Amino acid sequence: MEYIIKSEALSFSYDEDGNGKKTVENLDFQIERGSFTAIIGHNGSGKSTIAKLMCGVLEPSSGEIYIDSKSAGRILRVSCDEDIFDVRKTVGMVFQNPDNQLVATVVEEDVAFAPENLGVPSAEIRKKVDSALKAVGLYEYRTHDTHKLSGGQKQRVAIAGILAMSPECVIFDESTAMLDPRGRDDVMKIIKEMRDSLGITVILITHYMNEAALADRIMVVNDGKIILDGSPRNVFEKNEVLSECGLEVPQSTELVRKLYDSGAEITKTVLDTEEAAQAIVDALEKKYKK
Amino acid sequence: MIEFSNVSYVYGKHTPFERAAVNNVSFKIEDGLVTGIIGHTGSGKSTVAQLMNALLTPTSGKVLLDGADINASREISYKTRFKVGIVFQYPEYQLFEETVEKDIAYGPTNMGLDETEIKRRVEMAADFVGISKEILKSSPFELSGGQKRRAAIAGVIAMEPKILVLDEPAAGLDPRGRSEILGRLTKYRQGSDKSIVIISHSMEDVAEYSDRILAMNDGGILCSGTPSEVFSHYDELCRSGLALPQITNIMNLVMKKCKERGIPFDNSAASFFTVDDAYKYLAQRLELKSEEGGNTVC
Repeated sequence: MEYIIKSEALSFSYDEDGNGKKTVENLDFQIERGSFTAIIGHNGSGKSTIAKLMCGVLEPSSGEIYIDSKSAGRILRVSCDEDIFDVRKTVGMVFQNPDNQLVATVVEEDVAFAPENLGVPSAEIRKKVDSALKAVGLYEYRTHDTHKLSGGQKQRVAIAGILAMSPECVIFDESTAMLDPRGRDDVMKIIKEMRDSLGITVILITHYMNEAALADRIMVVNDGKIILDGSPRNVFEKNEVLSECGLEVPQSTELVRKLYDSGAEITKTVLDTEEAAQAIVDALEKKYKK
Repeated sequence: MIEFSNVSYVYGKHTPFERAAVNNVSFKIEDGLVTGIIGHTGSGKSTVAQLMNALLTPTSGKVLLDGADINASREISYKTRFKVGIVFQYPEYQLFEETVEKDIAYGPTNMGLDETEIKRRVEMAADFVGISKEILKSSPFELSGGQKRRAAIAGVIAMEPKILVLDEPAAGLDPRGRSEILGRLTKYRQGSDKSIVIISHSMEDVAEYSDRILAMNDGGILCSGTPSEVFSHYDELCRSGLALPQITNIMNLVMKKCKERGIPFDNSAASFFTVDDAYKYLAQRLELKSEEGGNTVC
């Protein structure tokens, strides 16, 4: 596989001298270019730290993260000072609180902030801003006040701000935690669209298991280590392991699994409500026709 | 009991940005119950919360606490804030004292209570949210996210409000943290006439922990009642940007598909909203021998 992000013996400690407890310990992983990866783990498991390391907000205590940047035309190292600007251009990040990441008072000015700082010519900025706003469905709102938008809309402005930098990878750090169901839905649709139509690599950190179920791959982080890594179906099948580290499978998966464990003739692992309903109806039908 | 009687609240009155956040709303929050408030962003939930303890004064209509208007005078409004305690979203951002103990004591101190009573309340509140004695002496800024959240909630509980209003108390917590905090909080009303109001975007949490649900839409009330009553308004909820709890969604789909295929299915099962209820019903229908799997398989 062609990787965009690769970590080697990655460790990080919030202690200055690096001797204290390691938040992230000796991690090796690769993120495939163009893929959608979800990272899950309990509060304090180290998943946000990993995200911040991947986009150069934090510097590894030891080990290295390599970013294969098409725009820079070479492989970058996050701990290398000369590479850090290119790292941040290649890998963007959307945070949790929509109120903390908007800098301008008008939607389109906010979206233009990053390309302006990157010294993009102004005609080009116009184009980038317009297409980014169209991608998140807020083009009609381009002259609105940012502070009067709903949480979901603010989060979409923040995403547009990242898209305007033409990143190759975007990391979402619990970006749906403060949104209502429709806002969450909108953001998840945009995330899938970014991967499918724009070919952007997406990494989603979330506590919502039904969001993680939409990814190609789930990485489960516990105490700074990756303890499970695979397709959603493979990961959710190991419900005991998830439960041990304070996580749970989606309720749809849980219900069907309980029926399976009690001896029902039913699929073992389902991922969403549709699949669960289908599996249950099939099982009921079998029983009914007997 | 809190009663809203024809309450409206308009932001930016007499400006071009005038907007009614709450529009002629009437409802009651009953003693001894957990009431969940759901609604899309901007539906007026948080405005309702702030109206409950006179942080906002209604543009028209009245808010009554046990029959008395809470906005009758400044003094009454002030006292109301000790009876109706609000825990805002992300309350950990409001921690400010040197130690967790002092932070929790801030509310009771302002109430003018004596030292022994303050101490009793701090210990009670800390114990209630699950904060150990050692943590009480440390700085709130050294705590983990989950501990900070609990410390901040303890600060409101220490005032022993009659009504505890929580805006998204579990947002940003992992699944175990969510169920732990919600489980503890809903115990606050047990064996007393105290009541709890939980504002949340999580339909699963609201369904599981509430006795009553109030669904808001565009500043008005969309529907209210027990969780099964409210979640039987499937189409209205979806149209207003809300959702059904996952289990209700599944059971609804199962019911529709069963009808298509001529398989018998009880309509009442379609409004189940917990894994356990759905499991019990289906296990019985599938004639599963053991219900051993009834232990929560997380």
